[in-house]
Order: sequence, then structure tokens, then C-alpha cells
Amino acid sequence: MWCFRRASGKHLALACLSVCFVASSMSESSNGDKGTIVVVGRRDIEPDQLSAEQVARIYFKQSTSLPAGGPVEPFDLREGSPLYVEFYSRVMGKSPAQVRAYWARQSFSGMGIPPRQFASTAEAIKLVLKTPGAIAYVQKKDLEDGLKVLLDTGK
Amino acid sequence: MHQRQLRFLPFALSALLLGHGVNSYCQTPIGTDEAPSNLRFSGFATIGVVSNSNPDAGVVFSGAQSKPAFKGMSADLDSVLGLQWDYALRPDSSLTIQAVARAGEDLQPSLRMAYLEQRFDTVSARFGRMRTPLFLDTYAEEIGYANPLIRGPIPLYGAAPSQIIHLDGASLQWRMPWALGSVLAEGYYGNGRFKYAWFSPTSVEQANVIVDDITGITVSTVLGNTTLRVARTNLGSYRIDSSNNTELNTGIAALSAGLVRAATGYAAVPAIAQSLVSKARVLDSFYDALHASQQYTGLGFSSNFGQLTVLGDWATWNLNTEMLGKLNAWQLTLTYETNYGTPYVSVSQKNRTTPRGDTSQVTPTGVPGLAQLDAGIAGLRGGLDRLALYTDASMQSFTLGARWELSNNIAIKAQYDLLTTPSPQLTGAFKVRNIPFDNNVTLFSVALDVVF
Repeated sequence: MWCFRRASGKHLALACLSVCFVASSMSESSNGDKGTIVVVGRRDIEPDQLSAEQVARIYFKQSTSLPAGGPVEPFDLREGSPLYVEFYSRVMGKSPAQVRAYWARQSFSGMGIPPRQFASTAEAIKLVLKTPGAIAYVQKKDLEDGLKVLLDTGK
Repeated sequence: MHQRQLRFLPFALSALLLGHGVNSYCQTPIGTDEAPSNLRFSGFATIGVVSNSNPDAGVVFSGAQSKPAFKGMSADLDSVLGLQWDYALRPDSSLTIQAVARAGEDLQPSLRMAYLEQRFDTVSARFGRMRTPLFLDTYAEEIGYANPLIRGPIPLYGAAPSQIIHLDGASLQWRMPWALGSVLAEGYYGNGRFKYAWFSPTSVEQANVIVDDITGITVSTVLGNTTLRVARTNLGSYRIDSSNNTELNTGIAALSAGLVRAATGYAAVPAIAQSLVSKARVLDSFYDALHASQQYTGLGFSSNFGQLTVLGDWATWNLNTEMLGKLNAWQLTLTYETNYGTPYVSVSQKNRTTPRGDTSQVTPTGVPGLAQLDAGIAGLRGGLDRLALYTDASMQSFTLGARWELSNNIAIKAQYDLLTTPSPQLTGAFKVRNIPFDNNVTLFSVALDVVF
């Protein structure tokens, strides 16, 4: 008989209590509205709309093609920038640390590397307009001619 | 300061410097006036210190680790530095190289990945050295920052799965979205050469492990917040080349030949002659007692429910020899992310599902005049009995800890582990010089995980 079974039962109970205690004492993180985020592509990109789940799969590179076919390339903003934090929190439900942990797992195991990052929205938009199949996220107020809104997080 | 700590100091300092100075994956954000770099440099490091209170049992994570964490403080169990270079040759092809140095392996750099990848829409092919995905997390277990615990549960991920860490060959990945989520299927084939630290009462031998014809398939799917993964890997041939093994085989061969010669001498007494030949056959059955094909099957999941994450694994090993037998194992881990940190709890267990190597048929002849042969058989029986105990990998673990994010690329973890085997005779994944031993091991660990 394993004496450990009894010990582990006690430890498990203690651990569950600790987790519940910490959980009950924590507060919800605020998710302040910093403006509507839209996911955009070039005007000729298909389809006309993407769901939040589809966008999440594309940004996590679990999907490498658009629902209508053809390759897709997600463009990201610099890690930790306010829009980056807001996008991953609102659309993916992930904190920057969770996103970093996900990409650490993927890239160091040879399963994929993170999307290309840009220093500013303007730079990302400029390259989206030049790249078929590219998508990026921007604030709605920064929309430019030639872009198609694929996902509007404000709706 | 102790010499071992001094040896570790440059490693710790460089990992800290890399973590602080080279944030954001060393990837310069791309500006329109700046051509994107084809070369991407990144890395990971863990600086871990563990305290083991047990004077008998050393703790290792990988079978290759020659410096177990014995009683006292040790930085050898968890500390690791990995550096990776990804070079885009063309938009659809790239070269990846990853080198890893582990403190427990004398910080000797080892190539974990060195492959060429060619992508074709939803399919990609890789050629070269790549990580072997035996179970859910084996391919990412060295990357501390990517994992909730300081180290994967040792009953499940310690020893063999963490030792057969890469293969030299080719793989084909197929990635497809489907109605409810996405699917990634991967098939692979290759060979592997590894080290195994073989502990005996008086020495540690770095044995060579030769694994040929590794074939496998993994399928993983993402369904909302849940990832499911199944993997099946066959090792066509697994062989440990060590002086201990050679000595055992030499002894078996010599005694078996002696029995056959003695049987010839007793040809006039058929009953004795037949008995001696039978005993020779019994000894022959233990020749190459650790060499065979092996099969690993793993089924794992990871589910995220807001702040709560649940990870689970179930796995089986079929090691196809009487000595190594069959095993199954499982682990369950819960983490809960709060504003103050992420506490976690994990339990795991590995059981041998076939009887231990049966040496009851290895008995002296009892024939007058064969006393020297009988003494040899008794000695061999002792060695085989010992081997049977050392190769029973059954064990359990309980882990309680917490993780704190210091920044977007640095996390610190503190962890308590209780590890045990079913009896003081069975060594599990511990490195033990003598049995019986104190088979309850308590570890307190602190680790700093960095990715850059």
C-alpha cells in the first residue's frame, strides 16, 4: 500500500482550498474601453467577414488559410503596446504573458513562429495594402481607404 | 563558494542579461522604411534551484542527466539555456537551429533542432533534427516559461520521454481548419542518438542510447478553449551501449556456454544434461535484457475556462522486454490565474502493468562438480534481481506551487514536490546507489524562467 496515497489526498484537499481561497479573493481585471478595434485586410481580400474565433486561429497560426481559400498572413503590433494588449485581451481573451507563453511553446518546439510585428498601426496598414492575404488590427478611427473591415469588435 | 555554484555563475548571469536586455524575441518591429530581417534570434532560459531533503535518492528529469539533485541545494535539475535561430530562406522555406545546454549535463551544448522547412499551403515538410513529440508536452518541456510547473510531472515526463528528445529524419505536417476548430496532424520518421547516465553503486557511466526507426504520428485539434492531442510513436530498435550492459551480456553468455559444455559432459545422464540445457536457455532469455522495440502512446488535453486551466495526460509505454515491461501513467494539473499570481496543483502517477522481470528460473544446477558454475549463476541472479528493481519505473508525485509574471518575458515560480515510489526497493525515476532506500523525496524549488 502506498503511504503516499493518504498524503497526496491531504495535500490535494489543501491545494484545492488554497486555490479556492485565492480565487474568491481576487478581483476581476478591468477591461477599459480604449476604442473600437477592427481587423482589416486589403479591399480585395475574401471573405467579407471573419468571426473572432477565426481571427484567433489565424493570429495563433492554427489556421494558415482564409475560410474562402488562399494563404493568410497576420500582422501584429509591437508586443506590449496598448492596442496589442487590448486586441489580445478582447478578441483572444489572453494576457500578453499568456500569448508569450503560447509562442514560446510553439517556436521553441518547432511548431511555428509568431506573426510579424510592426512598430505602429500606420506601418502595419501600409504593408497590408501591399500584401494580398494580409490582415492587421487597428483602431476604427485609423481606417484608411482601400481597407476592408473583416471584424468589428464594437458590434 | 562551492565549486559547483561557481561553475554555474556565468550561466546564471548570462541568462539574466539575456532576459533583461533582449526583450521582445529580439525581433525588431518592421517599419516600412526598414526591410524585414530574414534572421530571427530567440531563446529561453531557466535558472532553478532545488532543495532535496533525501540522503538516498537523487532526482533527475532526463535520463541523460548525470548530476542528480541529491540532498542539499542544487541548480542542476532545472537550469537550462536554449538559443534558437530561424532564417527565412524564402517566403515559404526556412532553416531553424536550436542549441540547448543543461546544467545537469555539464552545460554541454546539444543540438535540439536543426531542420529545413518547406511550406506548401496547408502542408509543410521538415528535414533534419527536430524535437520528438512523444507525449502532450514532451516537445516543449524544457521551455520553463511555456509551462505552468517548474518541470513536467516526473512520473510521466521524467526519464525516457525527456531523454528521447529529438530525432534525425523527416516530418510532414498538415494543418486544416474545420467546422469546430482546427486540426494539426504530423507524421515523422528518423533515428536518434542519446546519452543515458547509468548509475551503479560506485560510478556513473555515460552510456550511449541508439534508437533506430522512430516512426510516429500525432494529431492535435483546437476546439474553442480546449486543445486535444493524441500521439503514437514506435521505436523500431532501442539499444543501450554501456559497459554494465556488456558485462551482463558477457556473464550470461559465459554461463550459458558453460552449462551447454557441462551438458555435453553429462550426455550419459540425459535427465541432468537436459536440465542443464534448459537452464542455459533460461539464461539466454536475459541476454540483451533491455533491447527491443518500444511503443509510446499519449493522449492529452489542455482546457482554459477563464482564469482556470486544466491540463491532463494519459500515456502508455510498451517496452517489449520482460525486464522493462509495460507502464501507464497519468497527470492532472490545475492552474488558476489571479491578479496576484497563478497558484497550481498537480498530481501524477506511473504504474508498471506487467510483473517485474521474473528471475525465479535462474537457479543453480545443484550438480556436484559444477560448484563454480553455480556460484556464477547465483551472482548473475543477484545482478538480474537488482536490475529488475532498478527498471521498475512506478512512482507518484504531488506538486503545489505558484507562478508570478515579473514582466512579459520573465516569470518566477516556487514549487513544493512530494515524490515517492511504491516501496523502498523500487527506484522509479530516482538515481539511487543502493537499495533499499528512503523512497519519499521532498523538493522545494524556485525557478526564474525567461524567454527572449
